[in-house]
Amino acid sequence: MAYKVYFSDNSVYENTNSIENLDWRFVPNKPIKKVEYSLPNETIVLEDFDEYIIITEYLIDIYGNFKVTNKIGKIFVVGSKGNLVIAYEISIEITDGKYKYGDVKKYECPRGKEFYGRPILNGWKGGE
Amino acid sequence: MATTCIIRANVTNNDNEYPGNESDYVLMNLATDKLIFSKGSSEVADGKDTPTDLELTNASMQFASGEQEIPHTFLLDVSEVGAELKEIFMANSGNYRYVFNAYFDGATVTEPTLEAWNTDGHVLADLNCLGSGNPTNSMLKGISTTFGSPGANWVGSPVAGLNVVGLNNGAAVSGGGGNLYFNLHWDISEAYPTPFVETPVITIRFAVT
Repeated sequence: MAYKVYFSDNSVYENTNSIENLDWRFVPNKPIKKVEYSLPNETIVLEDFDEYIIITEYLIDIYGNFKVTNKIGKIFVVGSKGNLVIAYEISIEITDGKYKYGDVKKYECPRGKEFYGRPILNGWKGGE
Repeated sequence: MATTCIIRANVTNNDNEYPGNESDYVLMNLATDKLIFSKGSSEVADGKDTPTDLELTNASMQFASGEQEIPHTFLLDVSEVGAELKEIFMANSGNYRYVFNAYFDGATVTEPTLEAWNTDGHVLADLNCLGSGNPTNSMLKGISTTFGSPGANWVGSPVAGLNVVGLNNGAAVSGGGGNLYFNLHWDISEAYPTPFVETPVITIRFAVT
């Protein structure tokens, strides 16, 4: 299981897809109470935020490395409240041709600086 | 299915966008093809076969006074057996807009960026060619041409580490996907009198939901 979204109406959306298909865009648009992202050794919990989002970063190396064409770099599990963003950056490793979770790093930053100092422009979903 | 991106190179002198001019572009097979930046020679030239290491070395740039732009960019297209080298004639500081094409088949949630790093770990960017830890001194210059021509003798932005080039004027790619364009070139600085061999990674980064 990848993540669960708990809504104010007590319904739950569960995504059990692989790393390649986290499909945050398919999460219903209704007030979110909590997001849980399950990793092999921990569970990331975001609660009481104005907005939430889970994104998948892709890296395409056009020079100097020619092994994987559309390579997943990291997964970001992000919540924002006012001007504050709290984000969990999950490294993704490739082992035997399969994506696997790596290290997790938590960071805080101002809204608009959450993706390497640049904004996540859309796809956010509102909290309760 | 998440949004994917493919990269094409315009291997003609026709400064035309991809739609309607598909034959001007070659799809880069990123698993096998390579970009080669070179002074050029009789062996390292458009239409030639895969150059040997010695031929590449002989056609490499020599340090000299002042800043020198690497004059030729080639795509080593392994699918063109016997004529693998295809020059990307407009990949330089000339006023050329439709040179490299990044095609997205769906939406992104961040603006795609052109970046350069030491390795495919995409963590460090302190190679000599990337400015030795000062990204503003990177020898790689990039510019977005999605919304217009770069102008003659364009300077662009030094690309290294978090010094990136946004390819879509600050916007994400919309749900219908789209074609973004960029140009790049290398300026060899005279500040490096000792030759070095480095293999930086040039990357397009974006995020999707």
